[in-house]
Amino acid sequence: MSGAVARGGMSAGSPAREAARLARMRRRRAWSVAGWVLCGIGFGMLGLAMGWILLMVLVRGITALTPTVFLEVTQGTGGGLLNAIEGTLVIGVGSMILAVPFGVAAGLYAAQFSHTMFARAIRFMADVLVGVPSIVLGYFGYVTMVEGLGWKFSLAAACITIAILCLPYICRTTELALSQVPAAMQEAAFALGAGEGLVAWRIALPVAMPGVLTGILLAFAISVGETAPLIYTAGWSSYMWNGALVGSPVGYLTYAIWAFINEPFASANALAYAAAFLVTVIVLLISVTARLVLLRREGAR
Amino acid sequence: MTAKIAIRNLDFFYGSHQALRGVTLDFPERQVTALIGPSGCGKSTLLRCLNRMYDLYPGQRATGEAMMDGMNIIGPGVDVDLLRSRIGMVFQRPTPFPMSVRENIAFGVRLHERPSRAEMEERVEWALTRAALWDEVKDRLAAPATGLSGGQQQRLCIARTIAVKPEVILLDEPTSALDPISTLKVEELIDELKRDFTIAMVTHNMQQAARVADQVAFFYLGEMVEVADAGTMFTAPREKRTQDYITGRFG
Amino acid sequence: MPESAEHIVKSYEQELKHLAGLITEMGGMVENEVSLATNAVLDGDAELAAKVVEGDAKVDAMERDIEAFVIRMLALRQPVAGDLRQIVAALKMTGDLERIGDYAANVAKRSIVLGQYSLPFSLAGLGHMSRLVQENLKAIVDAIGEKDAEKALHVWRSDEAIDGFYNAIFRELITYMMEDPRNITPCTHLLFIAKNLERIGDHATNIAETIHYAVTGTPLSEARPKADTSSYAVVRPSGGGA
Repeated sequence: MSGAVARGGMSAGSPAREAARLARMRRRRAWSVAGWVLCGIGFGMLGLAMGWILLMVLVRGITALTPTVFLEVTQGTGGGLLNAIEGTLVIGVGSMILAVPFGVAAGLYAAQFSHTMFARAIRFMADVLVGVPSIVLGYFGYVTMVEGLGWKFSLAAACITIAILCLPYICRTTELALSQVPAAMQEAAFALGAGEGLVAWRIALPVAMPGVLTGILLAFAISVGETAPLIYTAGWSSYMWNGALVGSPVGYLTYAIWAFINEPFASANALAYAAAFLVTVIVLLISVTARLVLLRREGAR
Repeated sequence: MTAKIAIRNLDFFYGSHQALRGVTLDFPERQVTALIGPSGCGKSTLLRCLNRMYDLYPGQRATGEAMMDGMNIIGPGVDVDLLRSRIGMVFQRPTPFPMSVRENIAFGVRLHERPSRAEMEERVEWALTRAALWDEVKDRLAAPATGLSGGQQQRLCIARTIAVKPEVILLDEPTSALDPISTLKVEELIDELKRDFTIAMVTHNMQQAARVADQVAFFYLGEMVEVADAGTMFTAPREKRTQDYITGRFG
Repeated sequence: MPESAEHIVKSYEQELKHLAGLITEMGGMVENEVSLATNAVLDGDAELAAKVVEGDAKVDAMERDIEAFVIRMLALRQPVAGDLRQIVAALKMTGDLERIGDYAANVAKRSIVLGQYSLPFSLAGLGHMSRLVQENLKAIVDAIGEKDAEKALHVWRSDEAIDGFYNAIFRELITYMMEDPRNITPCTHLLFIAKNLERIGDHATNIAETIHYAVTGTPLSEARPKADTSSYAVVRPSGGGA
C-alpha cells in the first residue's frame, strides 16, 4: 500500500531515479533467485545421496533379511548375524559405560570453570581427539592393548578404543548444553549459599540433561557405525560373546559389511547387505530419538 | 534508625575498570532502600557486592567497608555461604530451578539446616504464605515450578529467598520482566516484607522507587550522588544531576 | 537552583512552557484588573468599574482552563521534583490569582456605590496603599514569569508596609464616621475596599511563598512579618471614656 504510494510519488518526481531503483530491484531479485537455486542444488545433492544410500541398503537389505539372520551365528561365509548383532550392542554399551562418566565430567568441568587453564586444555584436547582418524585410534589400541598388554583381540580393547573415540563428542556436547543453562539460574542457586558442586549437579545438569542425552545417543550411534578401530581391537568372531573381557575376539556388524561384500558368494553378500541394513536402521533410530529429545526440550521451554 | 548495613568508601573493580567510587551509604534496618540511576551507574554492582556475588568471577574485587553487625562483608575470611544465607537475593528475571514448587523452596533451606519432613512442610507453607503465593500453588506443590506464570515464578523466587530466613533481601530489578498487575503484587509484597527484613532494591522504574522505598539513593557513573527519603527525593532533590535524572532531562 | 536542561520528551517540555505561559498571562490579566479597579475608585469612573466586573468572568475562565491543564499533566506525565513543584505551584497560584481578581471586581462594584456620594475628605491614603499593592502585584507576576525566588522574597517582605497603610486607613475612616454619621455608608465601603486591597497583598505573599518553594524546593519557614493590627484596634470618641 505505502510502497505503491511511494513508487507513484517517486516516478512523478524523477524518472532517472525510478529507473535506477528498478534496476537495483531487478539485480536484487536475480541474486535472490541465484541463491535459492544454489540452496536447491545443495539440498538435492544431499537428499539424492541419502535417498540413494537408503534405497540401496533397504532394497538389498530387506531381501537379505531372513529369520536366520537374527537366530543363527555366522558359519564361514553363511549362516546368520546373531553374534555380530550381540557384539555390536555389547561394544556400544560397554564403550558408553566407559566414556559417559568421563565425558560428562570433563564437559561439566569445562562449562562450569570455563576460564581456567584446565578447562581450556580439556577443550583443546577434545578438539584434537575429534580430528584423529579412527583408524589411527584403532592402531593405537592394537599397539597398546592387543599387543602391549597382551589382551589379544578382545572386548576390553574394543570398548576402550571406542570410548576414547566417543569421549570428545560427549564432552563437547555436554559443555555446549551446560553453557546454555541461564547464568541467572545458577547465580540464584549461589545466592542461596549453594556450593559449586551442588549447583552443577542439582541445577545445571538437570537443565542441560536433554542436550547431554543427545550427545550420548549420537556417540552411541558412532560406536555402532565404526569399523576401522574395531578391526584392530575386537578382531572377529563367528561365535557368541563368551563373557570374557580379554583374550577372545568379538563379532560386530560393520565387520560383516566390510569383509563379506567382496566375497564371491551370494550368501556372504546377502549377509553384508543385511548387516548394512541393520547398522543403518540402528543409527537412524538413534538419530531420530536424539532429535525427538531435543524437540521435546524446545517444546518445554 | 539503626543501619543494618553501613557502607563506607567502597570501591569496586571489574578487572582494571572501576565501577564504584568511594560509595558511602547506610541501609536502615527494616526499611526499603531503592537504588536508582542510569544503566551502568553501578547500582546493580553495589547489590552484588553485598552478597559477594562477584566472588564467582575472577578479576572482580571490592575494597572498602560494608559493615553488617560488626562484620565487614567484603573483607577477607568471611564465610560466603553463611553470608548468603543472611543476605538473600532475587534477580531480574524469575529463575525457578528445574524442580517442583516444593523442592524450589526446600533446596535453599537444606543448604543451611536439616529440618525433619514435617518441619520442611511447615517451612514451605510459611515461605509461600509470606510471599503471597500459598493460595495459588498449595494444590500443585509437586508440579514443576516452570509451569507457573511469570509473576508467580518471581514470587516463588522471593519465597525461596525468605525460606532461608535471611536478614537482608537484595532485589535486582525484581519486576522488570513482569506485567503491571504482577508488578503491583510484588510491590505490595515488598511493603509487607519490610516488617521483618531489610530490603535493598535496584529499579529502573522511578515510580516504583517512589511507591515502595523509604530511602532512595541516586547513582551516577559509579558514584552515590544523593541519598534521601523518598518524599524528599521526588519533590525536592538537592543535586542538579538527581533532579535532571528523575525528571527525565538526562542528556 | 540553576535552570535545568531540556526535557528528553519534547512534548512534555512544551507543555511545561505552555503552563508557564498561561500563568503569566493570567497574572497580567489580574494585574490589569486591579489597576483598573483602583482607578475606578480614585477617579469615580463607573464605566471603568463596569469593565472590571466584566473582566472577572475571563479571569475565572482562565482559572478553570489552567486547572484542567494541570490535572491532565499530573495524570499523564506523573511529574516529580522540580517539574512537580512547578506544576503544583501553577495550580496554587491560579487559585490565588482568581481570588485577587474577585477582590478587584468587588472593589470596582463598591466604587460604583461610592460615586453616588460626595466625600468630604481626601482618598490620598487609599491612593498610596493601592499604588503599593499594585507594585507588589506587578513584582510578583514578574517573579512568576522569571522563576525568581529572590524577587518573590522581596514581595513577601514588603507586604508589611501594606498592612501598615491599612491600619492607618482603618483608624482614619472610623474617625470620619464618628465625626458625621452621614459618612458611615461611604466609609464602610471604603473600609471594605481597603480590606480588599490588603487581601490582594496577602495573596501576593501566598504566591511569593509558592514561587519560593517551586524554585528552591524549600518552604519559606520563617514567620512572615505582619503589621496588620487592625483586629485589635480601638478608636475611642474624643472627649469620651477614661
